[in-house]
Parts: sequence; structure tokens; C-alpha cells
Amino acid sequence: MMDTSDDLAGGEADNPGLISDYLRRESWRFRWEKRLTTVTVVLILLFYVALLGFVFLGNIRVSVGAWYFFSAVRPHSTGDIPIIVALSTVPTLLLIALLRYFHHRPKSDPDDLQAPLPISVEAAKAIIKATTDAMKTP
Amino acid sequence: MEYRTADDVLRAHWNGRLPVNPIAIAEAMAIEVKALAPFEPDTWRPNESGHYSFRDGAPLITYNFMDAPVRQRFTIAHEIGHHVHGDLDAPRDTSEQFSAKSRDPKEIAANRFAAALLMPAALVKHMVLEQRVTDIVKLANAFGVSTAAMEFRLKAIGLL
Repeated sequence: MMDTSDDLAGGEADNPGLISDYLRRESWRFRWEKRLTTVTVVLILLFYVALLGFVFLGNIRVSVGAWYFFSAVRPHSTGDIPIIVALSTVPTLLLIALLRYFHHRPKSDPDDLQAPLPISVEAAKAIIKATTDAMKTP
Repeated sequence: MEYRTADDVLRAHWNGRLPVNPIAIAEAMAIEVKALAPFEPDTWRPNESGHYSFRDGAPLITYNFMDAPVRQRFTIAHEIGHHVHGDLDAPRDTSEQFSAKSRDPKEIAANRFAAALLMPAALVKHMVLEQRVTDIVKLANAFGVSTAAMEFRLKAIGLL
């Protein structure tokens, strides 16, 4: 006699509550990782832009007064080194941390051969439309 | 046209709407689909859910009209799997062939194909992860499959 949970055509899952809890957790983890990635990437870009700005524009001095405008370019001094080191180290460490997180986190089994390849933007649009339509129908 | 996976079939013949309609897909693949009902006693087999065969050189899928719609859909998708995999000597499929614990490689492959056809991985992931549909009953209803098939698919794509 076949267990009903094994009957793929018409059977019922053994423990739907447990599965739903697990899916909820996966969904939460997905959103958390998405936010983590966004925040980290923004910080990395910010630091690198600041670094570039400091290196190439940080040596320009502009003095503006009531009757004068004076600009000068001076070479970077040794005092600028800690600033440059900090501005380059922080985003690099953030990038390494992000990559290590995704490299070492528990991974799901690879998709089976039937699974589609990563989807294109057009396919993603079609998918979003299809799922929205499906959820509307009772 | 040659198909190797359910994804090939979906790309070629799916209209992009859920639930995936396996009858429309089979017909688009030039497979005749025939419902077997008790009104035709010469072909009627009450224990048979479906069968893939050739009639006059053309592929034919038969399914049990008296089964529940969810079972009919999975049966037809399973038989399309036999067609794509070239299982010319596929046995008549009873409920035993649809078991997740089936040991026959052809049936395992056909079951995996059917699950992939009715529940495209990208869509399942999109619904669970982005649309936050985490109730397995709602998911199964959206894809028009049983909750057992949904669980099987979620495991196959690594969400469980």
C-alpha cells in the first residue's frame, strides 16, 4: 500500500505546517541577504568614490574671500596616508566579508537537470505577470 | 523539434500562464491526448491512470477521465516525460508509478519531468522567495498540483 505522501499525482504532504514554517524562514533569509548585499555594495562604492575623490581632488585647495579667489594644488603629504589607507581598506574588507559570507553559507543542493537556467529580464517580467495572475484567481 | 528537458518544452510551448496546461503543451508537441472514460468499455481500465503509446505511428497519451483534475494533469505531464525521454515501451501507469519512492529509472525520470513541467523552478522560487507565498497548499493550488508533488519539487530545487 502506497503512503499518500508518496503519491505525487494526488497525494498530500506529510507535514504542511512544518514545510510552510521552513519556507517562511527561507523567504526571510532571502530578503535579509538581499538587503545585506545592497547595503554592503552601497558602502563599498561610497568608500571607493571617497578614496578616488580624496586622491585626485583632495590636493586642491580653494580659498574664496570677498575680493579674491585663490586655488592651489599641493602634493599629498605623509599625513594623508592614514586617510588613504583607511578609505581603501574598509571597502576591501567589506567586499571580502560579503564574498566569504556567500561562499561559506549553507548551500542548497544544485538544481536538477530540469531546472531552467538563470532567467533573463524579459523572462522575469513574464514570470511576475504569470504569478500575479495565478494569485488573483481563487 | 528535439526536447531534452522540461525547460525545453516550456520554452517552446508554454503560454506563460499558471497553472501550466499539460494538454495544450502535449497537443502543441503533436501528441494526441485522449481521455478514457467508462462509457467506452473496450478501452477503459479503471486502475490505469495514464499511458504513453504510439497509434498509427503517431504518439498518443491516454489518461483516466475519472481521476481528480490534479491527478489528470500530473498524469499527462508524466506521459509527456515518457515521450520526451523516448520511452517507447513505457508500461501502463497506475498510481504506483507516481510514487516518489518508485525505483524504476524511467518512472523516476518521468516524475521529475512532470514536476518540472508543472512547477517551473524559477516560478516556484519567485513565488516563495519574492512574493512570500509560503503556504504549501496555496502554492500547490497556484500550480495546480498536489501538495505531495509540491513538496517533491521544493526538495528538487533546494528550497526544502
